[in-house]
Amino acid sequence: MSYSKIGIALATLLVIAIIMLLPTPKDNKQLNKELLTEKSNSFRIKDAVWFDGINWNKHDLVVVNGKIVDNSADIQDDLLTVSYNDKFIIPGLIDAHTHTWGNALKDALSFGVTTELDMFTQPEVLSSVKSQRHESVKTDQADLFSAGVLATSPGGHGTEYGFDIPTIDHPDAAESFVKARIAEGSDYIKIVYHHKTKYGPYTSIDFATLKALIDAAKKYNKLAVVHISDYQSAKEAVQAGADGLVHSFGDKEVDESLIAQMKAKRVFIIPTLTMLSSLSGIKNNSFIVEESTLSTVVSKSQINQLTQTIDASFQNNDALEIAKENVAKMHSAGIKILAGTDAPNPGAAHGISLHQELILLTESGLSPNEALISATYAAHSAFGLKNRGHLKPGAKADFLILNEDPRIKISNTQSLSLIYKNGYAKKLEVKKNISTPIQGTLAEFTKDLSTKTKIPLFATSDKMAKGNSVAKVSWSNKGCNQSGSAKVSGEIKSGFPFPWAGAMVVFSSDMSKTFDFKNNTSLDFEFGGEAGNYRLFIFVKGIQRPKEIPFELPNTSINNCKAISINLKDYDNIDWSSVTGIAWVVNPNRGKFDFYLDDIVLR
Amino acid sequence: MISQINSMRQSVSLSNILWLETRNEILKTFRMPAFVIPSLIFPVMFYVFFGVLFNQSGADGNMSHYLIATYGVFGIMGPALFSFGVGVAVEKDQGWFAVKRCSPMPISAYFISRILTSMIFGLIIVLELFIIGAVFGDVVLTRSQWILTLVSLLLGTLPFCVLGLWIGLTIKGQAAPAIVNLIYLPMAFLSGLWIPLGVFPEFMQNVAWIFPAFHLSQMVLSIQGLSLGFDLIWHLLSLVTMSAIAWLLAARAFNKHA
Repeated sequence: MSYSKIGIALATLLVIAIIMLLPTPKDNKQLNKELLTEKSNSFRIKDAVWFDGINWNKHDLVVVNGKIVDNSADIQDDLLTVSYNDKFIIPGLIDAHTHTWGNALKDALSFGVTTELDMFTQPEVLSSVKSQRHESVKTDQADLFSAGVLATSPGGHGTEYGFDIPTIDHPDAAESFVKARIAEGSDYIKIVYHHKTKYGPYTSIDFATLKALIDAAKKYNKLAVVHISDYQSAKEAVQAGADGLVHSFGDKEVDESLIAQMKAKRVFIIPTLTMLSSLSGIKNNSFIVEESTLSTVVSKSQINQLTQTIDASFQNNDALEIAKENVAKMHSAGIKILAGTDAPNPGAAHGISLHQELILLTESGLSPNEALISATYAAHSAFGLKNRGHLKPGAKADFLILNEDPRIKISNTQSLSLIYKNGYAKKLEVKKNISTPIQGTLAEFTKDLSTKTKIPLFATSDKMAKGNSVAKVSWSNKGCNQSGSAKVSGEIKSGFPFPWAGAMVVFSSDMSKTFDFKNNTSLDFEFGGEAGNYRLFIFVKGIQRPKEIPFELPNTSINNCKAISINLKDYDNIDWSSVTGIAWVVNPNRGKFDFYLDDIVLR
Repeated sequence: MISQINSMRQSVSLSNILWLETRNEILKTFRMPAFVIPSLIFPVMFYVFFGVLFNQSGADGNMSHYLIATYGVFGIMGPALFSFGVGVAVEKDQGWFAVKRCSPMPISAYFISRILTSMIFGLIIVLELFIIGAVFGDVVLTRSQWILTLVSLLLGTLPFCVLGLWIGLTIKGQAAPAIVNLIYLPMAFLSGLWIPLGVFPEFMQNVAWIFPAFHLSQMVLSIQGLSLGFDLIWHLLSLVTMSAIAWLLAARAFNKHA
């Protein structure tokens, strides 16, 4: 009996010991508190080292209703307290040069950019989100300030994007132009200027119009910022009284006289070195620190966006290096440098690219701390952003929790652990890049134009980008192998930089779904028509312009199609893992055309 | 003399009867390797296969958490169903059950000892799962989640004891192992104990509602926030109702033998 009792006691102890030894979440209370700050925007942060935009602090950071308050206010004793021991807090980043539409503001926030200063978008975009920046509600979007429609000449840079915008070609129109922008809600006026009124494919407003626009902006208390791309234009923009330059230049080294003028007139500059890098043919994806938390947030399509470059044959090879030196000189002269990316132009994506711009700025002589200022306090003071760009009492509680010290290495901004927007914690969204493999017949066209993607083959031409070419697709009961095929006809006409016309298959109607061709060896199809050269367009997620694969059709009759086989392995410059669509188009010089397409198979 | 009287008095107290009956039941059970080995090893073996080795990435990375709850249910079901379903059926056929009923011992002690034995087996199985889940499956739960999971699993043996009792009193001893297995294994599978119910077609997810194992597993899963999200009260009500029905059926079968 007593042995049994001892046995029971021992067994009970063993059970208790096992239960006590089972693992529990480390610092469980801390975790729960971080989660609580997803739901409440009033709390006190302890133990963190934090940057207010000017100085680094160690005392408590207190947030009430999404705003920073003075930590000495002892009325806040009952606040939820979170400890961020060993963490570093910086103000939410400000990208001072973007173009905003679609998911831009969501993407921006997911990488820690809490405010975007847009330099040209449609006024509808601005009016739909402008009010959000005054609110302190939980949101998954960055705040937006915008120039709205930019000021450019008819045929000037900004008119090439396929939608109509108001333009200006005379100084007398300046005031009414500026008033119209302000009425649309523009926060500042952005002007495109080149010292030659005709350059490359573009025109530019003249100096008098530039000056008149800047004067009009000043009259209505708006900043006037100027897009320039070379030294001479920069110089003239500064002479005309610009408040800021929204690009740098790499054609020539900056001289003392321009620096002196910029300094005297307190002109700031947003060098957008990310763009100069892309213009220099550099793929902008190598800055991402492989093991960083940021690298888990970036999606396949964003990577593709970063790897795009801009074809800039007009530019000198050392433009990026010269631009960096110019930034270094301006910076050491005390000229205000702002971080901006020009996303989503090729080579830059919203949010992620600002982390690259910071690196490029440190490569141009800014210290890591000064680079942080360029994306926070400098933007605050240059654009008069009042309650953002710093973490002083009254500021919006937009800040980032970093695991590593950004003062040691600026790439430590990529050690992002948590984002606070309007005082609400937002966890990083780890992206899973899913692409579906595909194998076998894509379309047979035996009785209609239907394809395996559930979206029928359709006509495509540069008309959708305001070109003049036309295309039409119909089902034909003859054509290739007598069992039905797709007949594509139309006409290529000039009027677009790279004309196209033909037929297209997409994998989803908005081209958001991607297919993985990595395991396929070839793309085969039957093709009939006039002998000559044709092209395949491969649309890849995140890349605006499709990749082209040329193929040649020898002399065949229309009723006797030729089997064409494209060996995918021959085109390793194409990201076959995320294809969104395929198009068959005729060459730009073709004129009128008819061709037959049939039996599309992926092997 | 006095101490002898005391010990005699002690020996006829109800608690002592219960103690002796339970101790003997445990000893008897542990001397049946055919019962001990499958009960203690199968749930853990399955858990190692599906929860630790294979499916690390399933259920949003919560597979090892999810399966610790469901294999816990699977684990406690076994001893309860077999101890009552098979054990009672066999002892009933052997006449041992009749002897127990005729003896001065209250027959409740016979049942309670079996319940406690089932719970002790359940306890061992659940602790095995906890240890393996913690060491190999990276399962991390708060202390209260661990304890709550254990306690609700142990209490969860009761409905299966009642169900087993009804089966045991109703069927012949020879048929019992086969029949209990026919109920035990399909119920475990269809209740989502082996594979999360979410991967089943909707029709099968609806079928799960008729099984007590489904309701218990949902209650245990809700401790970690991994249940399908129905209000707990529905699962509790279902379990209580099913137990009550089984209890009534068992009582009828019991009276038939009287």
